[in-house]
Amino acid sequence: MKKLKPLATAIFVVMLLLANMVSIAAAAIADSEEQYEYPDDTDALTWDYWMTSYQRIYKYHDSKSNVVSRIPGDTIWMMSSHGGNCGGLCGVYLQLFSGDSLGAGDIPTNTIRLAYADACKTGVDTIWTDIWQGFRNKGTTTFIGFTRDVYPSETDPFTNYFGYYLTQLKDTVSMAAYKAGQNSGIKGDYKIYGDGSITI
Amino acid sequence: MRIKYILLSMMCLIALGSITFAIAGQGSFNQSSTRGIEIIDPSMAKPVISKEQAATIASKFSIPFDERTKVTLLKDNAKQMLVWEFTYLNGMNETSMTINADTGQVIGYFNFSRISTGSAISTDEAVLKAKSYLPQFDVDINTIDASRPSIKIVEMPNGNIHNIIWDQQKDGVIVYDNFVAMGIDAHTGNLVSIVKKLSDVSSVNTIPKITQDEAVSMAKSFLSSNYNLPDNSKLLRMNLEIRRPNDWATNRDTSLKGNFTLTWVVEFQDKTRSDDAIVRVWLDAVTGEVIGGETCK
Repeated sequence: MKKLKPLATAIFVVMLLLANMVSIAAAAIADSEEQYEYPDDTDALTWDYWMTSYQRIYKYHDSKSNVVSRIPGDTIWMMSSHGGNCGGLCGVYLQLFSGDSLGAGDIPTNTIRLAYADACKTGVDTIWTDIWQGFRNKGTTTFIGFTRDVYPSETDPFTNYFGYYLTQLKDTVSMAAYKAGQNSGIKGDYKIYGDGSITI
Repeated sequence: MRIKYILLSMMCLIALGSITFAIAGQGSFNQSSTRGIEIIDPSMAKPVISKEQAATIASKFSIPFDERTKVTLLKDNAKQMLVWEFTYLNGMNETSMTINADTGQVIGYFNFSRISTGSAISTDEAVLKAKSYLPQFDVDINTIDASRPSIKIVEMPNGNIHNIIWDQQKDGVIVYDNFVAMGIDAHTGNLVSIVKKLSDVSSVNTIPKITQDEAVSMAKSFLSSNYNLPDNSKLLRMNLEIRRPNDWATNRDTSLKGNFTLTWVVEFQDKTRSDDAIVRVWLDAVTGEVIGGETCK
């Protein structure tokens, strides 16, 4: 019996070691999967970094029903995702990670002060009803989006600077967007709908 | 004896638990990339150019060094640069300036009080005006290898701005994300803004060894095996550029890093997401190696 005790303890320690190794491997796999999701929530996290005192949710990975149901309670809204307009055959929409589309018709009545759609073409005004109109028509004070296809190497710095200027320097949306655009590859390729003179 | 073993087991558990968290934490969301701009404590960062030296530079542009001016040391992680930011609030008007905290160079200037409404000056006049402001920011556009300027109007609540951009290039090849961007009031021609980002690319060879056809074939092959790109995806366009690489090809990280490289940027329709999505692969135009890429948003 005396000989068995150290053996049992040794087995226990080895099992603990194995459990830890498994958890390390699981963490690594989870991370690699996270990094391969497109587009990631980097911009949303960046936005969060400067917007900690404001409402923020990583909407891209959320379900469409959750995103829509939360809009009436949002004051500052941001989503980093894919945007498109069916090659010109439909209004500009946002696409969630699930593949679901968020179009103008999905936007409920809201009291959002600033909506920032960080995706391709979200500032384009087509002949159809676009996402910016969905927000503005249902109560959003100010909407900002991009007027062409955009890439993370441009939008990451734009989002960084935009959030910084809005929160730290208390710039108006127009000033913050202009300065952020000049400091990134975006330059003037954004469009503000509604009141650009608001601060947050 | 039993207590010894229990203690030993607990210590092992704590140590390994710590290692697990450390490893897991390293791989999770790259927090540093989410903080592209950080406010830095000058006493910790110890920039080459002191706050007082930077203030002397800012004063030449009528930015006072007193309680009306907010002074912040920022770290721009994308540009790997420390900058002094001076923001002078004069009533409702804001003038701001950014100064490279390593070199003392003025790299950004904004003055929104100079925007006004009225009939617009022509784009040619705006370019001439812009050129006239460049010497005070130590830029001689005639000696820099730069593209012809692109010009567009940016609407602001109190008037419009001619946004004039010269892209840096070498031997006609664009240096991605390097430029001189200026804002000229569309009514008066006053300077509203200037941002300059120019890099030393003198060591970059501008003659590709990989042909366009080879680049397309390599990019397509890479995407079909690493991105599940369907064979019928359309080639949209391709450009020869000087770029810094990223790790998109290996882990989808889009942060720019490493040295400027002559690059074929090959762009395909990305049917894995939607018919109007785009995926780009960056190939070293000399070696053919995949050095990065990105997908449109």
